[in-house]
Amino acid sequence: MTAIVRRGMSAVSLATWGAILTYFYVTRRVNDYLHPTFQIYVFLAGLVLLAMAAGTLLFPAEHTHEGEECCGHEHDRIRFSHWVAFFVLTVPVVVATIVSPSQFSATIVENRGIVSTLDGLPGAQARYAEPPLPGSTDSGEPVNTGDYLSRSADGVIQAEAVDLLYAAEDADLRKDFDGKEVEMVGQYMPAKANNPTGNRFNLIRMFVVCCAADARPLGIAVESTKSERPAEMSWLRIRGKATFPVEGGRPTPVIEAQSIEPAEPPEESFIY
Amino acid sequence: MSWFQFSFPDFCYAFISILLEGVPFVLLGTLLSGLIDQFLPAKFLYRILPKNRGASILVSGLVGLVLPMCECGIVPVIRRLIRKGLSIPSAVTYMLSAPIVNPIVAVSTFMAFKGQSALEMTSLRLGLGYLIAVGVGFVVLRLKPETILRESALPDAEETDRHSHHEHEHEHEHEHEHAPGLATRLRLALAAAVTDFLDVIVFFVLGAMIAATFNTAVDQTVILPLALDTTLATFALMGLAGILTLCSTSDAFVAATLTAFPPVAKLAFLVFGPMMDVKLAFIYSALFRKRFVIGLAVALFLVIGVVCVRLSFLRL
Repeated sequence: MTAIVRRGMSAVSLATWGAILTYFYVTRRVNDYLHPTFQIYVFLAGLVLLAMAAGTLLFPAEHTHEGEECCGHEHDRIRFSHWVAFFVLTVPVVVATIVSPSQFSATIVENRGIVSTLDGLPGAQARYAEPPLPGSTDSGEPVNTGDYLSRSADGVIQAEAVDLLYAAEDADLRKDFDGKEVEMVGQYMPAKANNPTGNRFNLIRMFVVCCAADARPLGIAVESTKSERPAEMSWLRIRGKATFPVEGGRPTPVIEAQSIEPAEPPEESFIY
Repeated sequence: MSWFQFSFPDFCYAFISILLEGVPFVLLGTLLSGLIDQFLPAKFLYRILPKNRGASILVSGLVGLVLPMCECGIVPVIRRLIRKGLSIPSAVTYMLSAPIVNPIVAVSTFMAFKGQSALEMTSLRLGLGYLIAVGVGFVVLRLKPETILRESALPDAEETDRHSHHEHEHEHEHEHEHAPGLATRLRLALAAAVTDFLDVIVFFVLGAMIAATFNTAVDQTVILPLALDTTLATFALMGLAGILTLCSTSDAFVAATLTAFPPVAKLAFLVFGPMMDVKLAFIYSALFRKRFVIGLAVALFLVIGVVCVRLSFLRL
């Protein structure tokens, strides 16, 4: 294989990776894959890889390793055939970029188990042990909680799964939600456990520490008398009353649904 | 429900997310390796590391405190350092310890375990990580380089001979004769970085494929019943760390949620994961012989597991 073909293959491989990383960042598709902390690195890496691809093409240096000729040692090449390496470098990532649905299926939720208490929430112990929680000051004094609660145009509290899991553990915080009308957006999953009346389902949000591969499904139980059930993992907007019945010896968040509507996926499908 | 259900779209989703998270750090490591190649004088390592090989291993285990690297980016760096004359035992020690014994991991572990004996867990993680890495370094000290490194990664014979006899005069002349300008050196650093990136990323892609398969297809709830037995729980969580392939800077936040598991099992998860997982096994293969990687994986799994089980008397 000539040096020029090999250099071309290197440049194409680098350009492919650079283009894919830049594409994910520019189109904001990266939101569905990574924690925000890591997203800027994807963009920077994409730009650097594109620059490296251009540099490889424009400034050939493949056989100018310092001392190579005089010392007689060769470049430290791996034993993969160049073509196999080129295939591995380009095809899987391109195929996966095209096929990847940007959200997990119901199988993943079942495989990982639904987290429905604060104990299973990554980082919760750290945050829970560290005042101030929403609803209290450093000194533990209650504050006007209306300041931090997000509300819809008609004044309904827009709750996240995390809010309700924290509220279940904290009596002060629970007062802000208990018995009040809340709105929550999430994905539908049937309730296979903790379903005493048989009319519950779970509203899921994926909680991410670094990337989608470590996503944990957080589930809030929703009670609804409607017999119709949507497709698994479809996005719903629920409005209803937040309640915290004691189940298994601890308050458990349950939304008594008043309305259930299909919804568009939020711009950021994860919660962090 | 079967314990293994493969879904191609889920696989692609997890695969891409692992790549997006890891590639910037691999790239950082390879850029650093290119700069090391061109700008780090071989003599520098002799100056900062003790001449005694045992003492050098002990110090290498702490280098992560001043030069922290994540597990994804460290292989190209140590590959270049080995070519620059760093001894293989010291390089292996640094490779295993730096993703754990570093300030970022110390802070993240402490934060994640707030309310769960954070100070003890953080100290044990860094302490055990250091001891295991140093222990591996001393074992590697007894092995021949050709049984550890791939042929292509072995230090140049002439260079090794020169370093072992401290004949720096020849090196000085060598550098003086060719002394390229800054632009040329940057261009050569780029070429070295490109070579390293493409070499390592092939293995990273293969490792990410395996990791994504296990990550999405294996029913992780099957390991929950194992939490009741300390020994089983410890080895089960190391197995989980092996397939989750989490970054060492954030894995503590996941470990802290495994409340059903005993603290020593979480400790094993936190020490084993940054040293070995399915993705790392492939990345290590860019530098080490397959037999060495398999041996390292088995040894780490057993030693870390046994040590952590023996530590179960600690009331964390």
